[in-house]
Parts: sequence; C-alpha cells; structure tokens
Amino acid sequence: MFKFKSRHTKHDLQNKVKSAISNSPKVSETPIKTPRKGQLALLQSSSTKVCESTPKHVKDMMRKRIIRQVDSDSNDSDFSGSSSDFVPDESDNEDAASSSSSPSASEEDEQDVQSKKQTKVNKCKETISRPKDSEYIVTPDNYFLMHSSKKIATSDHTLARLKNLNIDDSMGDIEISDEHKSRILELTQSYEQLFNRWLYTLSENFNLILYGVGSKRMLLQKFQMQKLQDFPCVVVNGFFPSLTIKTILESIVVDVLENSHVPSNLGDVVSLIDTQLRDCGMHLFLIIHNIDGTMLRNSKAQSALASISQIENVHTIATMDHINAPLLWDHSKLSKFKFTWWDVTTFMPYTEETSFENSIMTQRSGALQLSSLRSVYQSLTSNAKGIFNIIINFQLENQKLAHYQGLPFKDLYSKCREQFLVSSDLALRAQLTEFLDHKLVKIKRTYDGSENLIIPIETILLQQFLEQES
Amino acid sequence: MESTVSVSKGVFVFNNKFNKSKQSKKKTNLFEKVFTNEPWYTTYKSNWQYIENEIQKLHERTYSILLNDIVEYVKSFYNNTDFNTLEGIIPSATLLTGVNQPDHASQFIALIKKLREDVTPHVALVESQDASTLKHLVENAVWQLINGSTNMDVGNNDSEFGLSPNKKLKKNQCTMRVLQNWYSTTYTNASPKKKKNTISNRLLVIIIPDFESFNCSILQDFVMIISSYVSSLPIVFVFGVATSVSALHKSFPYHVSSKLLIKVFHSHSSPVYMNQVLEDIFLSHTSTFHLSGKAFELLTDVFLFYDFSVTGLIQSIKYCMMDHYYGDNVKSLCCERKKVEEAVMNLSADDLETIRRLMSFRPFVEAQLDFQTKIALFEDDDFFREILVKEIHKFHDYIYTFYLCVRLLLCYVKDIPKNILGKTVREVYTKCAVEPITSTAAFRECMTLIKFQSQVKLADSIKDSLKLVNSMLKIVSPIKPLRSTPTKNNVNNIALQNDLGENFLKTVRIHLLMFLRQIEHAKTEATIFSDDHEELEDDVENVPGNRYKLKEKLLKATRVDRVQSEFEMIRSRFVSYLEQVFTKGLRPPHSQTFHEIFFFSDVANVRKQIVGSPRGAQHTALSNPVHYLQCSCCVLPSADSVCCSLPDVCVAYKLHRECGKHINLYDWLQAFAAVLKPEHEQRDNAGAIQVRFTHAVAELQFLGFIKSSKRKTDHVMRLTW
Repeated sequence: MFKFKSRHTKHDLQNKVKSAISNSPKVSETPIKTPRKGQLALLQSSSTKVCESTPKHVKDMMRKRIIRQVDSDSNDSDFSGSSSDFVPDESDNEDAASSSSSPSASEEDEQDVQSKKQTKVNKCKETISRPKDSEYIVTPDNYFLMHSSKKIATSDHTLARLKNLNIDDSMGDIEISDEHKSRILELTQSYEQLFNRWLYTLSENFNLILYGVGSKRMLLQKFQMQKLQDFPCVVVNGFFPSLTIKTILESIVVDVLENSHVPSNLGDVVSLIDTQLRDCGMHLFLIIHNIDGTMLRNSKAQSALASISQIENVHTIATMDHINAPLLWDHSKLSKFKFTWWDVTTFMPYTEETSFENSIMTQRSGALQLSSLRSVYQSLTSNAKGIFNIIINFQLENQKLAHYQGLPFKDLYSKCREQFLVSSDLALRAQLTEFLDHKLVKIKRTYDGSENLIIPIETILLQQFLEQES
Repeated sequence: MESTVSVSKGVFVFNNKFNKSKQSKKKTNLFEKVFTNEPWYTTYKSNWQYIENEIQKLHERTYSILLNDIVEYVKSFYNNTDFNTLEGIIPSATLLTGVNQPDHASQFIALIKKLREDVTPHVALVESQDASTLKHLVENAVWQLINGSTNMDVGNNDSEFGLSPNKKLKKNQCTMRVLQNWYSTTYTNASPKKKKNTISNRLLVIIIPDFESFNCSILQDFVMIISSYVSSLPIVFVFGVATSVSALHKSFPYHVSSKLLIKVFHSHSSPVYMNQVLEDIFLSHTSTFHLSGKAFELLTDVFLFYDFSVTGLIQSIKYCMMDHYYGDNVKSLCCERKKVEEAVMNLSADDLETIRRLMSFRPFVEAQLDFQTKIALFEDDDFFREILVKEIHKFHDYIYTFYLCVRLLLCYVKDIPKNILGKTVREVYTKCAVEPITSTAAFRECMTLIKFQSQVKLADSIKDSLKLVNSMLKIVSPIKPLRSTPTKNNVNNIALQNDLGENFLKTVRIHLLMFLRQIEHAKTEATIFSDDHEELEDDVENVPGNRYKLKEKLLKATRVDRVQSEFEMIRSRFVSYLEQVFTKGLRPPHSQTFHEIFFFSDVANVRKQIVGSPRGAQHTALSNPVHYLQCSCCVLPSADSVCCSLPDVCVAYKLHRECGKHINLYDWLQAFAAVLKPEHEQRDNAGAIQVRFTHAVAELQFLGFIKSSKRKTDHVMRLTW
C-alpha cells in the first residue's frame, strides 16, 4: 500500500512539474525533440484508450484517498524528505515501481514520462506473452531490483490500526459471483470429461499429478466416486498437519492388505506391498491430496511415496499446489513416479487445505492466541490468575524500555507475597510450571544468573486480554 | 461415500468391498474391461507390445558386450580352490554408468540375470535406500546371498542341496557369521560330487548400483568387514559409479581402497544409447507409429536438455502413442501392413466418415479428375474402403522410402564440415519431417559441399550407402538375387520411376552401383594443355627465388579455363542424381494423404502432460483468470490491471505483485479493500472484506507466494519476483 501511495505522491509531484512545463512551452526546444513529443502525445492517447475500461470511480476514489492520506500521514513516508529524482535510493525504487509493477487500475490516470515508459514495457511484454498464454515468463531483472536494497521500504502501519481485529474467521465463505460460480462449474465439468482418459493413463502405468490454482479435492472425490468404486483406495490428506509417512504405509499394509505389522525398512515394505498385490491381482489406488503438504516435504517421505507409486499395481493420483513443489523430486524420484501432468485449475476455495494452516492474518490478528490464552486462564486458580496478572501488568508497563528483560523472579516473588498470593518461593515455582507448560510464560536467564519472566505475546493482545477479563 | 475430512486423521482407507482373503481371479485385468472391446485399444496394445519387445532385444544387444566383459572378469577370480592368495583383498568391478541413474536399473537387472545364468546363483543387489545403517546393509546383502538363488529356481536348489527347513532366515538374523556358516555347510563340506563344480560357480557377488548415494562411512565399514571374511568367502563387488572413478577414491581412504582390487568398465553414454533406440526402433519403417518432426523435436529436447533418461524418453513416446490411439477407431488402421485389409474391413461407417473428414483427404479428392470417383469416394463405402487400402499401402511404401532416404542422406552428409544437417539419423529426420528438405538452403549447401569431395571419400560414402540399401533389401526379400551388373546403355537414361517402396530401392541400388564403378574408374586429372603445364614448371624451376613471378604465373593459371576432369563430371552428375532421389524420397510426411493416421503431431496437447508447467498455469490463473473461466466480467485491458470482479485470490495476487520484497499486511488490506469496494469511503462492511482478505492471504500462503516475516511487525515476505 505504501509503495502504491508513495508512487502517487511522487507522480503527483511529477504531474505538477510536467503540467507546468507543458503550460509554458519552451522556446528553446530543439527540433530534434519535437518528434519525441509527438510520439509522447500519441502514447498518451493510446494509454488513455487503454485505461478507458478501468472504472472511473476507482480512480477518483483512489485520488481522493491518496490526497487525504498524504495530508494526514506524510511523515510516514520515506520519500517525504526528498522530492528530487537524483537521490539514488529513490530512483532505484522508482525503477522498481515502473518495471516490476505495471499500471494498476488506480494509477493509469497518470500521464507523465513514467507512463510512457510503462506502456512501452507493457507493449513488449504483451507481444511476447500473447501467442502463448499459459507461458510463464521469468523476468530476472525483477529479482535484482527486489534484492538491491536491504532496507524494507514500507510503511510502519500495523494491523493494530484495524478497528475490529479479531473477527470470527468462520464468518462466511469466500464470495464468488454467480457468473464465476457457473463458470467454475463448467470448468469442473470439462475436467470430468478427462476421467476416462485418466483411467486409461493410469492403466498404462502412468501416474497422475494435478496442478493449478484452486482446490482439487472435490474433483478427485468425484473421480473416485465415479470410476474407482470397485477398487481399494487410500486417500491421503497431505495438508494434514500431523501426517506421517508411517501412517500412510501402515494403512496400506495393515488396513488394506490385512497384515499384522509394518516392516521397519522401506525396501521391505515396498516389496511386501508389491508381492501381495501381485499375488491377489488387485490394483490399489493411492489418492494424495497435496503431495507437497508440509509433512510430506522431506526426501524420506517422497522417496517412500515414489517407491510405492513405482509398483505396477499401485496407481497414484496426486495434487500439488505449492509453487515450488516440483523441487521435491529429483531424477530418480521423478522416474519412479512416472507422472503425467494435468492442468486442472478450478478456482475453488482451499477451505479444507488452509483450515490447518497457520494463516498469517489470523496469526497476526491473534484471535487464536487470544482464545487459547483465555481458555487456559479460565482454568487457573484465583491465586494463579493473580500471579499471571502481575506479570502482564509489569510487562505492559515496562515494555517500552529499551532492553526489556522481563520480570525478575525475585521481584515477582515479593509482589506475590505482598498480595498474599504465595507463601513460599517453592509454591511460586510450582505455580509457574503451569504457565511454562502452556507456554504462557518464558524464562530468560540474564548474565548475572537471575531468572526473568516474559510473556511471549504481543502487547496489543495482552491489552485486549486484560480489557476483556476486567 | 464417507467424507475424507477430519481433524484427527490424515489417511483414509476405502476397501470398496475388496477382501484380500477371497480374491477373485477375474479381477486381474480390471481396467481392460473398460477399453478391451475397442479396436483402437487392441491395436495400441499389440503395437506397444511389439515396440517393448524390440526395446528389450535392443537392450540385450547393447548391454551384451559390456556384461560379458564383467562376467568374464568376475569369473576370472578364485579360479583355484584356495582363495587365500589375495590376502584380504576383494576383487571388485567398477562400472562407470554415467550420470543418469534411473536408466541404470535395467542395466543392473540384466547384469544380475547374466551373472545368475553364467556364474553363480548368489547375487545380491543392495540399493542405498535399503542400507541406511551398516546393520541393514549387511542384513540385506547376506539375506539376498543366501535366499536370492531360491527365488530364481527353487526346485533345482532344494533337490540338490537338501536344504534345511530354516532356509528362510529372518532378516534380522542375517550376519556375516551366518553367511560363513551357511557357505561352509553348503559348499565346503558338501558331498564329493559337488567337488567337480569349479569355485566360480559359487562366487558371492554383491552389487552396489548407486555408489554415490551411499553413506561413505557405512560403505567403508562394510568393505572392511568383507575384507576380513574374504579369506573364507569368495566375494566379488560390483560398484555402479555415476560420476567417475575418482568418486571411489574420494570416499574410500587408503586403508579401505587398499583392500579393493578395482577394474573399471565403461558403459555407453546415454545419448549414444538414445540414438540407438530411436534409430533402430522408432525411426524405421518397421514401427507402425511415427512421430512428426515437431513431436520428435520436443521429446529429444526433453532428453537432451532435461534428464538424459532413455527410459523417460521411451515413456514419453509411449504416452504420445497412447494419446495417438486414444478413443479413435480410425487409428486402428495404424497397424502392421499385413493387417491393413482386415482393419479397413472392420471400420464402421462412422469411422469412414471421420476418415473423410481428415485434412489430408481433401487434396486427395481434389486431385481426382473423374467426377464419378469423387462422388463415389463420398457415397460408396465399399469403394472408399478399396481406395483406402490402396492409399495406405502407398503410404507404407512412402514411409519405407522416406526412412531409407533419410539414412542415405545421412551417409553423404554426416562427414561434411560444419554438420549442417546433423550427424545422427534423428537430426536429419527432424529436418526432413518438418519441410521438404531439398528446397532448404542447408540441403543445397550440403550438395555443393559434396561436389568438392575427393574421389576416395565419395566412393566410400557410396559404398556405405550401398551397404545400407543392401541390408534394407535383405530385410525385405532375403532370397531374391539382384542383378548387380547394370548394362552400359542404362547410363544415360537415369530416370526414377514413379513407384516408391521396394522397387524404388532396387533402382537406387542399381544406379548407385553404376556410379560407384564410374567414380572408381574415373581419371582425376583434368586434361589441361600440356605445354602450358610444362611452361609453368619450367619457370618455377628456373627462377626459384622470384616470388613475384611465381605469383603472376599462378594468377595466370587461375585465369585459364579449367576443363573438368572425368571424375568431376561424374561427380556433378551424381550430385544432381542425389538431389533427384531425395526430392522424390524425402517429401515431408504431412504432404501425404492420410498422414494423420500414422503420424502423431498433436504436440501442444501432449507437451502439457509430459513436461507440465505448474508455475505457468498458476501465474496465468492468478493474473488472467479469464483464460480459464472464460467469463465476461473479468476481461482485463492488460495483464497487470485489477478489477473488482476478479476472484479474491487474484486481486490479492496482483496487488502483491506490485510490492517489493516485504509487504505490509495493513496496507495490502487497504489496497484490497479499495479495489473491492471503492465506493464506500468509510467501508462499513470492513469485517467482510477482512475475512475475504484473510482467506486470500491464507491461500497465497498455501500456494507459496508469501511467508510470514519477523523483520517488521505485520509484514510478510514475498517469495517470488
């Protein structure tokens, strides 16, 4: 947002300069430059044509907001001090702005030298990308632009500025417009036509890997229901946070093949599965939702999966979502997997897949932390609550200190004694173990050997917690 | 069906009425029941079977020399009964396999087979994944040495040795001591009639196929242990090394490597092997299924620039073949020549209709002069069938000639400087299959270069090509003797008849023989006026130091019209003959009628499945969802613009693309809100937007575009650029 905005401030400035220039035409302008001006005008007209389709209200809206924001918190801006283009740092950023990101809806109304540059960039980009639409063109320059400066050039806003930080996460599903709903339905229906082909591919001992944005669970479930009713299937939720490769092997060897135990060695497991499946002439289907799930992201798990998929009577259908997922497999694994790749972009929300994930937003908003804090707190005895409150209050008061080390144990003891919460050093320690177990409190040792207590939760959350409790 | 969502379980089993105990035999070909009755499927199956067999044969051919060498080497040890001579030194063969490991499995399987047949039943192959600790390694090796042979030929062993019931040892009981005891009971103390077996019949061979992926220290210990037993057990190692011998030296310090007697064997490099596979199996008229130039290029590119895996290449070709045949009964015509009639007869009216709709059918119809035939082609199915059979035979002839001409061309072209058309059959093929080669600049350049070739060289290449033609003819008609002496009066009317196929080949052969004879007997000296010649020599001799004069003489000599020698004349005639042959024989496949049936050309489709571009698909989906959704609401003026109707993830993605390495969540949220609800100044329903944003961010995180960052509060790190 900041980058966004700062660019605007700068562009506004440039606009002013430019308008000033154009209002007072220079007499001294050399004839060499005039055609360039004409070209510029041409480009401008073309860019206005382009931006016709952007909603005007967005532009107006943005402009208004920008002006307001610039007025209100201009001191936030890194650029506020310098309006000159010759500061190297700034010009760096400017470049980054112009080439890495290209005109968003809100910025297309600007017609200056910048926009000319941008339209040029866009044009060549388009000519490259038009013919092959699905081609992903890597622009290595962006990498260097992004990593050229160590400084984080973003504003200091935090989520604390939001009014209602902790909205209930389950407050509603993702809104999808009706048109999109029908389109997504069509899309999935078109993928359902592939089912027979998939079966054919699987029967020829290839395995399937499905990729593309959107949850592919529903599709695979349909496939399983329509085509794999007669076969034993093992469905693995790769996104499940406490999944282990052992459970997968166990469910194949014990639940499907009805053995009593799983051999400890991977090679033995694979040969066991192979011989048993071959003996009874049965085909096993292994459906892995998110083969790139967190718990499967290690070479051991992947090589186990690869070895199992290699078995002639095991047919693997896997999905992947992470952009770097292909890095999981080296040559030998890939050759064992024998994947055929299928683009099944569904645009369906990753409801199940992300339900386990520690989302950044929820983590930041601390809803989870707060509720767990509350539930632990409620189970405490009143004395323990008192002790905890002391630590919280001390931390809130002293947080601002430059090197806040935490509340020294001795101070805590004396404070607790003052309030008649504990009678002995030992009793206090016993109470503290409770907090330590729940990770409500951390103990830090300082150089002089004294123990300091710290609550590893952000100040805002603590404040909120106190407000709610009192 | 029960749901597969749970907070306590990650793996779900659907037995689907399957019961291991009451297995039913009819379930063996479960899949096939879906497709079996389709003609295309049976044709595909039989064709692939054929190709697979051919590959197998080729494997055996290519490996045989190397394997024989190794087997001989292994045999050469322990020839005499007391094996103390080596004193703790283990003989070992190191097989340099080259980088690509997946391919080597077949090589080692062939080696094991060969060893078991020729040398000893006791062969163990231990892969790195089965040897995470020394214990596992020893257990695996010992278990395989003791039990391995029984897997192969149970009856044989049982009767001969009278095996004890504890034969099937548990793996955790397998130690070196057990091996020693077992060995002494089975061999050393065996009945006298066993004595006649030479020691090489009971060698113990341990194969380590992927040396580099083993843990060094484990292998070191293993070698040391084995070396202490080698006085009583005849053990031979075979190491498969992917990189170079130095890997062996690097991972074994002196005290270990001194225990090994290493001999190095080299295997073929994989490009050589690939060329062999392609030339012998796929780029020949015996294959029923052909790849178009583009498809072929894709597959070889994947091989050369990506994985060097021949197995992978074969799998890709298999996939192309599957795709070619899938669901199209017309493709059942793509079969062996002798089955064509039958296949044509089996086609239904619908199938014929599909054939009529083939792109290459139109020019064929237009070429028909007679209106009656034109109509009959469309109306009369029987007539059409007849024509179809004829055309397909013609096509087979064409293919036969085409591949021959590709190889002929290669004979002449492979040695010329700069390798304009390439040095291998596949390179020449790719060029020929894409466009009519004779009209390209490269071809013309090649021909001019041939015009400069010496007599000997040219004669050699003609001999080569004759060999090729002869071998081709031998395949086709092994008995028929051929007239080898062309009559003299044939010389001047060299003309190619219109027919392709075998007859074409025969005429080419006769002409080549003729040219060869002529070239061999031709005089090379140009008939230049003799006095001129002498004068030049005189001058040079008379004034040896006068460089200026010599120069002048030489200049004069160049100005003299060079009269062509006999050889030169024949040579230029030969080159024009070659051009004629190739113009006729190397017409690109897509110019032929019904080429769609035999040539697979749907590269774009298959490319996605073989190579896969998950990153590209994600980028497209997120930055331009219209590509997938085909909706009217999200058409964007440029790839980077944003509008409110886009799916939430796309909006978040596009906004995040505008940021640097770090993204401020709050500002991101504000931008997100501004895009979605630009009209509300205060945004009363901030909550709803916040939820949507949270979802979008979670999805982006799930997709791996961002991760949380500790560097600044409420910031995330961007992982792409």
